[in-house]
Amino acid sequence: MSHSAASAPEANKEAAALASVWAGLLDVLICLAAVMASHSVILLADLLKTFLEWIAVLLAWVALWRIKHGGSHKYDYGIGKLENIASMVVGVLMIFCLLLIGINALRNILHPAHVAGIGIWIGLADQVLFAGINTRLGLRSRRMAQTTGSPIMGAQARLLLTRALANIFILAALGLSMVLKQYHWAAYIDPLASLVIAGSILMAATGLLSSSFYDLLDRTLEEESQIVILRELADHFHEYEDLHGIRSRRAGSKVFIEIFLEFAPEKTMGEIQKAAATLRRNLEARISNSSVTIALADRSIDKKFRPPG
Amino acid sequence: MFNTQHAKNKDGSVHVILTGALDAAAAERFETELETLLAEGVLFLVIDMENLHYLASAGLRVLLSGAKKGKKQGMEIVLCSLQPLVFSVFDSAGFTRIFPVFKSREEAHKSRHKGLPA
Repeated sequence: MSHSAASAPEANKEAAALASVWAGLLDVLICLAAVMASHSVILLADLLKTFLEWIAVLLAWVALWRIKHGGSHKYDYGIGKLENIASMVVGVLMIFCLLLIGINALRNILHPAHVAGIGIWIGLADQVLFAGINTRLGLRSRRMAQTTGSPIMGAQARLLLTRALANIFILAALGLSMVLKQYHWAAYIDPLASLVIAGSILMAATGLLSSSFYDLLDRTLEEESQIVILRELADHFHEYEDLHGIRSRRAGSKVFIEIFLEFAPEKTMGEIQKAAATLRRNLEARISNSSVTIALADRSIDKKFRPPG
Repeated sequence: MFNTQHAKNKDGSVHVILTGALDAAAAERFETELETLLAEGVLFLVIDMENLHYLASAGLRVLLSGAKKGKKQGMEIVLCSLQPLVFSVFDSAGFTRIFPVFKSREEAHKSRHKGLPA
């Protein structure tokens, strides 16, 4: 695989993450202005949440920047881990954000007050604008996550789409708080809506932490992919002499497969190379993000490394 | 839990009954047993899967490796009485093109002098 072919998806991912960084920064500044000019708890919670999410997005961009400008082919296994570590940090930050929103919401349930001020109108405009931006960026990240299998882009997609839903929800909560402000109970809409947002963050954080932690552990390949490997070997059963072992491992979003085959001595090197290339090409096409190596062997690899006795 | 039972016939063929789950943990043991049969010079092996309820990729790998080694040494391996789920895995891995599969042990043993199933 050439370097340019390998780095193109990484560059796309970095560009998508950078767009999220700029959009997030703009959102933080508008939220800050809205909070300063209003007494809304939900907008304060929104600012804290937006700021923490922006840090998470920034962290993801830094991770992707390091991947693109880092050590090219030297850290093929490490790239997957770096992405997963970043996703875990995003998850931890989301829990921190959840606590902050929870504390603020509780305080305002105990001391209710109606929302007011020009900041509310700024907040309403901000929610409309960023519901659109976050949806667009979230869908873009999700498409990239599907095509590249990147956990970090998956985390980005979840974060941005959750954010878009939160924008719509905050918009509705602020609107109702203003329309119904003649009622005493309307003062509770603001803090209660904050708790609903906290719940959505909790769900996103739980999913993010569990999937990232699972991906972070190097693990054997799933059964479905193992069957695909065996199917390919069965399809080319008559092209090799013996099967001496299969080693496969998933590291982050990447899959590494080594197949140890013995070929008949009468076969020419050209024939062996052709058979090995066909196997490799077919498997890499069928198992996404896989790197396949066909190694020549004349005995079982498992027994070769087994200690004597 | 995986278990095997062997029965040697007068004509030199061997009938192996697999019981339980042939998963990653059991695969190494099954591989050793196959190698022992190869070393003993068995020429016709019937693997009876009537009591096998699970077949993992590790088990398939052992079978594939066994088919290759058997071919080198002139040992024919046939399978019989596969449970529907096991057959589904076996077929999806393309192994029905490598191994003759029979519905019963009688058919499997009879096939020795008759060739592959239709």
